[in-house]
Amino acid sequence: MARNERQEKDDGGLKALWTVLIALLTAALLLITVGVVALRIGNTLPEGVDIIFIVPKNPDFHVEDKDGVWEKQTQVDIFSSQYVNGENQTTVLSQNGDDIIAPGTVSTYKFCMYNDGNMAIAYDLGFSFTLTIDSVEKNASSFPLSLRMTRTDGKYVMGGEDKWVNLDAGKVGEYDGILGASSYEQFTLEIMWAFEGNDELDTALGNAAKNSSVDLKFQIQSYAEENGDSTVQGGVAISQDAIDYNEYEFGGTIRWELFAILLALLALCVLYIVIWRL
Amino acid sequence: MKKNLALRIASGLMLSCLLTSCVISGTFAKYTTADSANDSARVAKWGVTIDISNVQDTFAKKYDNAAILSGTKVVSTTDVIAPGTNGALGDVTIAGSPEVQVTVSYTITVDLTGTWADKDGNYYCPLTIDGKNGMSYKTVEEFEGALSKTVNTVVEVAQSLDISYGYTWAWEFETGADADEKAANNIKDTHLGNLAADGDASNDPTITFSISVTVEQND
Repeated sequence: MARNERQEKDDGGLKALWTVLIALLTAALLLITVGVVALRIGNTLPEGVDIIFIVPKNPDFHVEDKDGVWEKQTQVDIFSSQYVNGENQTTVLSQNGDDIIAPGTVSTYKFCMYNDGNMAIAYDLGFSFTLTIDSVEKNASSFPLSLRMTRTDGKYVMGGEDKWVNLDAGKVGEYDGILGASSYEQFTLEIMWAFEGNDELDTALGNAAKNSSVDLKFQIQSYAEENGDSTVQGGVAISQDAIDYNEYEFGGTIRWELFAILLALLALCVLYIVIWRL
Repeated sequence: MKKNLALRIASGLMLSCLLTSCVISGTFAKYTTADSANDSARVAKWGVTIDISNVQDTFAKKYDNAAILSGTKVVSTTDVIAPGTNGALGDVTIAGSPEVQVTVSYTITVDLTGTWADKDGNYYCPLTIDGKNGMSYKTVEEFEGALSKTVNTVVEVAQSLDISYGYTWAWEFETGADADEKAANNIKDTHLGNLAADGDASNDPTITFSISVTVEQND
């Protein structure tokens, strides 16, 4: 009789252990599932929502200038109706107020990239132009348009103080970089129609412009995606106070301390049950 | 207590799964965004025209009514000048409304070749060009220098171009302050004609006139 009671007692205890083990395993699977889901949907989580040991991704990237934020095919103000030379003399002047361009004109455009999110962004800028006469696109492969560009600290990232990058019609000039979390970068783009280039072409275009509409359309495309390493730094910190990147919680990263504690607890529980109780 | 090897292996696999889950889960979902901006400008108008006339017909082979006496003619097989003849040295008309600042440049070159002198070899040029009388100068080079010039004029961007130049030349039939001087000059005129007729082309008094006009955008 005593042996049967002991047997029943042992069976009951084993059942309880199995129950606890299964509960622990279920909890572990739930943690994994939550972590995976959090990373998959982290891009759309409301800002500030945390998922246990996963820091959600809160991307927030945009480009803007003095007139507002870029969207799709945003009309911006690059060209002018009047240009002056180094002696402040007006050398180019539109007769009807339209924005115009002529040999020797340099147009300056400032825009700013903002990464207000918590992860590094890899971006790419593309520059291109087309030339049309009465709305019909023309081959302008020899049109002498060139660019140079500086960033926030004044350093040239395209061209240089005495160097311009030629931009052929139909092709795209590019510049790419990385913007760190909570950072920005301001660019100053200069677009020049070289004064000394192709006099014959310049004169032909100017004469055509007398009776036809000869237009140049300049485009800037921006593309941004999350960088593989969300902790990479780049650009200038948005906050006036310096960011301590050792303490910063970048999106998509693991709160390793918390995760390690949870894993350790789970492991201890499982080991206790497997080794000492089974 | 029973040892369950299968359960231990399963637990070890579960722990491994926990540790690797965070690595592979990082490959899901990727944030991207794209925007663009553009602006357009029309090419500034040029449309400057330069019209130069009367240059090819500056001198002629025949002049009707070449002097104060009607009916007097000068007839030659080549372009010539003679006492009592006159003409235009080129009319230039520049027009247009460019949307850029320009500099209008014209260069006039007058060359007097051959022998412009009397029978004693003293400089003599009875022509009046652009209002300048050749006899007011001491040498051919001095007269050429007074006639040949380059003029640059900046035209502001807001102004339309409406510029005209015109040069004339004349060889008076008789020159001189009094009858004696007129008679002396007539002899000198005759000497110039004799030089042209002596069969020696190297001493033929000759005048060559050229004008070039450019309109260029300023930087």
